[in-house]
Amino acid sequence: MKADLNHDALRRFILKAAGAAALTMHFSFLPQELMASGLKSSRSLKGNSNLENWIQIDERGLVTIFTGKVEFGQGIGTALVQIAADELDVAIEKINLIVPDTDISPDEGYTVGSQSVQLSGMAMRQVSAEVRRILLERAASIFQVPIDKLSVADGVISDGSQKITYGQLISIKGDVVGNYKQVTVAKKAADRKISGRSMGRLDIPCKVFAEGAYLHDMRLPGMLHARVVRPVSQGGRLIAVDITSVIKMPGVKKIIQDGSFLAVVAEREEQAIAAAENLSETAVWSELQDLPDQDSLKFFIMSHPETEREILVDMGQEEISTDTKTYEACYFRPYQAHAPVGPSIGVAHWDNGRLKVWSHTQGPYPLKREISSFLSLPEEKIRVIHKGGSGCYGHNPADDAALEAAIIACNMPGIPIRLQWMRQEEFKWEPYGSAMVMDVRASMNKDGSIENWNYNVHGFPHSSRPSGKGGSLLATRYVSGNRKVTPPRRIPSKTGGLDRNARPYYDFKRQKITKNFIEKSPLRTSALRSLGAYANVFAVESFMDELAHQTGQDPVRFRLRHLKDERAKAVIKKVAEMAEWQEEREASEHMAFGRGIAFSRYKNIGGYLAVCVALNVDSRNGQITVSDIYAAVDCGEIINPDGALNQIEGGLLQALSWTLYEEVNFEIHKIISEDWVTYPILTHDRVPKLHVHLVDMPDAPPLGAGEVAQGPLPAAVANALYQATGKRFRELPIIEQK
Amino acid sequence: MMAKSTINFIVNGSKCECDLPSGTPLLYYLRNDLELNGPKFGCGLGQCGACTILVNGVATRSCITLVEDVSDAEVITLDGLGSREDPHPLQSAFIDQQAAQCGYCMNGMIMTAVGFLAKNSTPTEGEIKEAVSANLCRCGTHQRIIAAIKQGAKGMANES
Ligand code: FES
Ligand code: FES
Repeated sequence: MKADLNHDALRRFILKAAGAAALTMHFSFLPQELMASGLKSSRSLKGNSNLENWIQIDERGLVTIFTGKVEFGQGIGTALVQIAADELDVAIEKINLIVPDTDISPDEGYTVGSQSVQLSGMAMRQVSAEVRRILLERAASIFQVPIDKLSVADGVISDGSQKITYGQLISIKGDVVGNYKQVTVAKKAADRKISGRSMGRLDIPCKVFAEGAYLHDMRLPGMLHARVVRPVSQGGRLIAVDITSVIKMPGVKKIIQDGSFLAVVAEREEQAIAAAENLSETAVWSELQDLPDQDSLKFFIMSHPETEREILVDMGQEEISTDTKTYEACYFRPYQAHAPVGPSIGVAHWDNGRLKVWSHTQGPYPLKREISSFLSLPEEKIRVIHKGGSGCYGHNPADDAALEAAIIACNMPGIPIRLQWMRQEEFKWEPYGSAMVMDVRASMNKDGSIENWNYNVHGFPHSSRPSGKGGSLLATRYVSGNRKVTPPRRIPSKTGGLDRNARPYYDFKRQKITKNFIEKSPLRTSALRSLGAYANVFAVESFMDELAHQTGQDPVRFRLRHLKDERAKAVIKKVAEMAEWQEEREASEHMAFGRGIAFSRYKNIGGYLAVCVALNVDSRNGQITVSDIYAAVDCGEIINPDGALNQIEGGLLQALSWTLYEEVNFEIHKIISEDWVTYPILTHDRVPKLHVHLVDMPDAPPLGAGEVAQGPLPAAVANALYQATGKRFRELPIIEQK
Repeated sequence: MMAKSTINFIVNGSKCECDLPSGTPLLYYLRNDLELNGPKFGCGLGQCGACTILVNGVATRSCITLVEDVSDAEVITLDGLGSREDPHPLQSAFIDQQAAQCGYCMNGMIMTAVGFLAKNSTPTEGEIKEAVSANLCRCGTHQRIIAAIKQGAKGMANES
């Protein structure tokens, strides 16, 4: 492989390599030789509108598909293969998916918001349909028959008497290339044979057999291990450090100090860890007492002087007539952590004038732009390649670790650098889910309907993802040169960040929704699965339950009477049926039982989920045992039902963990949640039975399943606890309050 | 400096001569010297179970086990448990049940279950949950993991 390799030869090479890999593993990585050279020519693969950016077929009929969306265990890779197989009429085994790589994959920005099937999946479907049609046209002209006389089975086109394969058509007439022209209609739902059916995820066997599926498993020749040394306070500055003893420690190759960014590189991983611990002991940092008192965080948020107030909805003045009765409540959600089981990692290699970065980022292209602008290195000199990490759940420190690895790699040209964060770093330096306060007031008509709804949400940014300006990631705050920290992204209110799902999906006569945004969070924050929806739906659905009870109405019927959307009503009715919903409170001698219901449509434009939580509370010790969670979900067309179930089950349990246990603890000068003892999460012995029903909607557009569960779950728990105990739980986490 | 002397043990059926200084956590030897992918670094503190391996058949956390602790012992990691051609019943069960989202916890779940099922081949669901309750999963895959261990237990019983 030479650097002057032309595009076509490069492509053949990819296909050969990918095709061979397809026989054993669908999620292959490009071979090292390709990574090392031939990169310049791949520029022609940029831009998303060419068919060959998405699908390439070789002479053997093997299909390679490309995506910009990353796999993090949510199953997008498998769904894409299913979609392509279905639309192309090719067996799954003949399709190989290339993981996102900024040199060859379409730029699809971030993999966020439960939109991968809508975006990448539907693009794949359209392109597949178009490629199939082009191949059929070629066959029709060879056979001299009209196209509608042809049929395809596993890449073999037939007119009843003659046959030709996709591979043969490619050898005779060349590759299918060119702009996607949007002239082909994809198959009707009823004609799909693979999409819509459960299929084992293609990435799982590789993980079960320990074949090196994770970035953590990557080993490059000559690779060294790095660790970063962090201050005590988030904003601590490095005042002094004595490296003389550390540099002599076994295996230590280099200590990198750039302003307050301090890192060590060693031959072996445990040597890097030991050296970092040693450095941490000798380093002197300034200590900042700049965090609020955790006990009064709610007040801190509500009375913050730099609050930007934005009225999102205002349907007129509230008229408090004598016939209406007014209720109010205030809800709180603390800072919460992504906390993947495997800490974040970045691998970087400055090789022959080009920087290669391997990352479990959600956005390989945005990360590339961020690194480019941070390092003042032209974008074409950077290649970001995705490789899976531990669970993602939003914007975790993957990008931070990638940039730090890149900084270190630039200091050590030619040597691949593996930087893995330690457990304590992962907890203390990740960008948390924002703490939030929601206060709501409503007045009820005497007919029991809601007349006025006045809702305020207060909180911090929900996205500090790489912006491309070079100031979004953690290292910006520590390297020398007074770099400007890029302000967090303002998320448009169509989907919303802090205000995601702040608008209830109900029809109220009058509502007023106000967002109270505080740009500077004392703890760094970014996107945590479902963003503000988790807390907003907690508040909205808890309050709906309060209003129902205050006015003596059944919470299920109360919701139904305020909804117009039939799909919304359908999931609520379904879950009520599944859980054998009943109003009466049950009790035994020591046990109080409760059931709570909640609903939301994610982002008000995504999937619908209604959930019912059944739990009991032991009056002797206050212990809460959640026994069952029922959920009915409508997320439109589903490509892989079992994959969607897996995600929804996971979402429910993660949200249960957030709700019962999770809170980032801090003192005025430092964060104290630093491991699984100081930040406990849900464990197996506390896991309830899950009963999830997917509404079958093959003809409806896909709406995404990954985050639908997060919002309704906490409210259903709090509502069930109310039924069991008669007490309202308005502050999360709940376990702390019993 | 810690003393250096060769430590001998068996990993996945092969003899190893480890001459790392005593005090080195076994996890790094397995991952970085033997290039095994099964045991994962999760916390390094013995809190999550991601690094679990079998030492003489007993599920052990390799992040807090030192190389000298396994002198003369027999170590098995997920890498050596089974293969695509000849999977261990628990590996087949984890695939059948699709008991993974990110799958990062899976090594620990499987290896802990292997150790546990060796002692209790007909466990109740409660006993299974108890056995793996100190293994953390952040993706919420718990229900499938328990189902997979149940299936694996049956599979192992049928094999023996
Ligand atoms: S990595 Fe060993 S227990 Fe967490
Ligand atoms: S599947 Fe991701 S941690 Fe368990």
